[in-house]
Amino acid sequence: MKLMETSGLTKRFRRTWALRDCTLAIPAGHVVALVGPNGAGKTTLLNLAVGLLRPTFGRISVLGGEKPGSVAARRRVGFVAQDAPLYGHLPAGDMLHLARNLNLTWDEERARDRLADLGIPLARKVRQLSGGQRAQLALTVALAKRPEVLILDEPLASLDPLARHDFMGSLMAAVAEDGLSVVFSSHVVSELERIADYLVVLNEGRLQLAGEVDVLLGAHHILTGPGGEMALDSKRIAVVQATQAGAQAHLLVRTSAADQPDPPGWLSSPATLEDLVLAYLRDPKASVLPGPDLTAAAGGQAARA
Amino acid sequence: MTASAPPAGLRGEPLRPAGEKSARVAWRRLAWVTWRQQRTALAGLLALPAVAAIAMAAIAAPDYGSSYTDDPARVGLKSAVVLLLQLTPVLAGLFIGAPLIAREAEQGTLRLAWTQGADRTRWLLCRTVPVMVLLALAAAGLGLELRWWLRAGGWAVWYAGGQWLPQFFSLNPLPFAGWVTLSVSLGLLLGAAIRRTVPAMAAMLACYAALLSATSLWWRHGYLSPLLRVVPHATIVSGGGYGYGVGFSRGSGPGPYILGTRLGWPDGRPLSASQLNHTAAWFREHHIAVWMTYQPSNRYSTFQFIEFGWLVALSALLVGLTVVLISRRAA
Amino acid sequence: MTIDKGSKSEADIVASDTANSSPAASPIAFRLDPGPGVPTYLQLVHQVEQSLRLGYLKEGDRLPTVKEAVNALAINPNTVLKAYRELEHRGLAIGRPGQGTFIAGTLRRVGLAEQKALRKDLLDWLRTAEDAGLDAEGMEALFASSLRDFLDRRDEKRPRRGGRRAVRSSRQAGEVA
Repeated sequence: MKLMETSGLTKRFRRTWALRDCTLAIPAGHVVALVGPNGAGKTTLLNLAVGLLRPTFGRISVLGGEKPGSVAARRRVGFVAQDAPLYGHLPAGDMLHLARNLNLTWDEERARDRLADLGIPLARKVRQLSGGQRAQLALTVALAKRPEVLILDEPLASLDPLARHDFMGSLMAAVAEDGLSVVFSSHVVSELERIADYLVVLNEGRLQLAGEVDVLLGAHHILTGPGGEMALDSKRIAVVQATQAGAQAHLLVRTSAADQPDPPGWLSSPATLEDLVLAYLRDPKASVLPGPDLTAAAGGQAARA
Repeated sequence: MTASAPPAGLRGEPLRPAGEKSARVAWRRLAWVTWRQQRTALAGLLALPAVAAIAMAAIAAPDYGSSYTDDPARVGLKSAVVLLLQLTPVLAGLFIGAPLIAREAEQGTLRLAWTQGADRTRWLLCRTVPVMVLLALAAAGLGLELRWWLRAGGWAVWYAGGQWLPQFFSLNPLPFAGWVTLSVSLGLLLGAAIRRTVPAMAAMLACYAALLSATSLWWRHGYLSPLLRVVPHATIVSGGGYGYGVGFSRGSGPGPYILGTRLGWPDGRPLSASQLNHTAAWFREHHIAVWMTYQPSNRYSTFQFIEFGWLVALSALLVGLTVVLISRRAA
Repeated sequence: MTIDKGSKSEADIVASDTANSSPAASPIAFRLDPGPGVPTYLQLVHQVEQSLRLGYLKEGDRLPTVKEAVNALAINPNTVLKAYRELEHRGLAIGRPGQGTFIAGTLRRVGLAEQKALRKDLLDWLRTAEDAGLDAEGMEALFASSLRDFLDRRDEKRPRRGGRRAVRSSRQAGEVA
């Protein structure tokens, strides 16, 4: 089942194009990181996925063909918007009760257990909770309806490092327990490597990268070697990004063929997720989309250099 | 996760709260949501007319005959009560109608409310219709109390056509309920369109004032075509001036609503400006009489119904437009 | 409005049913080295092996559940699953559905005499390397790359599902996906 499928998805606000011609097919059962600089279109994409926005052009469907915002989609998709919106003047217990009354399926016991484990008092007003506690409460509300997928818009943005760690740990525990899929957006790349197993990179409203992290990292590595002489065979080795410092150069390369000995004089080392994302973000023209030679799952578009 | 089932957890079946059979969120659940979110605003709003209600119950209305002589305090009380009641629809629109969607848009909680199991239309209707009904009933009750209060005070203004005065007409039970309903739905639509609380409040105030003025000054006169009749015992002097005395001494109902008077021919045609410049004798010779256009007293109730009717219809339309608006637009 | 207790995990139900109260907590807790060197799942594997060596873990002890591990470390559950699979593959652990993953075997302990001999050989090599002009970091780098090559060549002979780092050598790129 496809977690999210878009086809030529485009969204325009007055005169800005927030998202352009975005075609994705994300399989279910993954923790998906949606990455990109501010203004790249991440929030737009997520809002389209939950039915808060309507596409200008193109189509989007979630959870195997459901229309975002439909009754079935709203039941199966949990969402926490940016800044974890909650009703501030309500006590946490009432906030929970309110969310329960707005939903068709609800696991009250689990929600209460979770809040008890996290140490969030039910009598305290939401606006008196710390940022981390509010984020956890919002997550609890989203999880209590037992969704199949959880969509989080920059959940870590305003959290301190401890709160971030606790939030992610808590989220991963929920993933382990329920087998739910997660899509979360972030503009901080360094924390993603341990968490995400599917990556989507947006830049200036366009899709740059989409694929399983294992596969993407397997298809890229860093070549370090003598600078100046960049006489690498560009037919076989696609250079995504080159950094040069005096006599030495680091290249992030993408190899499409499986058997590739290192070019003479160059040393290869594995690329980290951060290397990959930063390199692609620096060059908005570069893109790697799932293709037969890079992913087993999706078919369709061949990699564009 | 894809390779094997989660080792220590259970994938739960959708868990329904007991008794939930349909695929839609129950009205009573949404009603709790409405109550919980709006109870403070409602309490605040109803506090003011409650004060007026208590004042009316506790202190007798000033008698018309004594109004301007020995009890300025009670006269002041009467004015205050009328003012408080007049303010109620305004406040309802400002503090219940306008912020309903606008505040949630500003605070971002629409993104929470519209991604839960209840769909937007149901959510909106459940938050507005019960409140409007409640306020309408409260308004009707207050209107009745006001009527009783003034009559008990012997207010002769009731018998002198004063019931047609704008400040009193709109406080009759039915029109009052209608204006409150309209005000809330006006605020609601403007809040949904403008998405910011304070500008929505300002817009609501402006629209409401415009509607109320237009109704009071023009529309109300013409709900039904006014009648035309000769004023008996009128005196017409040279130059076109005239005087008349009208006695309203029937029972306890309202008098007629005199919209205007003018000189006219026996068949009712008005005199032109130049024809006014004649002597009294000329007038008598041509049987010129004073004609008045008026709404008869027996139309008082009918007009209340008409006003209530169009106010409620317009409110329903505005709420419907709001539903359409929020279904289309983004959060 | 209470939901039936079936929402709790099976492990909890099993625990509450038996007379012996809750299942024993795992003796170890994982921690991660934040550097990019070793893949996360391998770090977990090594920590289990180290705990076995040092005696923190005995046969029959329960390893942390996936849920506990990811809650503490904030990592993808797949990583823990991969680590546990690797441990099973190495014969060190065994998973029991509904109960968790348990230590099943022991590391082949290298005898003291053997360790002494290996140590002596290593010191000889280090002396030779120093004479050749290698400094401490050069020795480490040389040792690390030789170890990698050795493991790669050994793993080539043994069919296994590789993680993302196994793709580093171009010859193994085909194993992924």
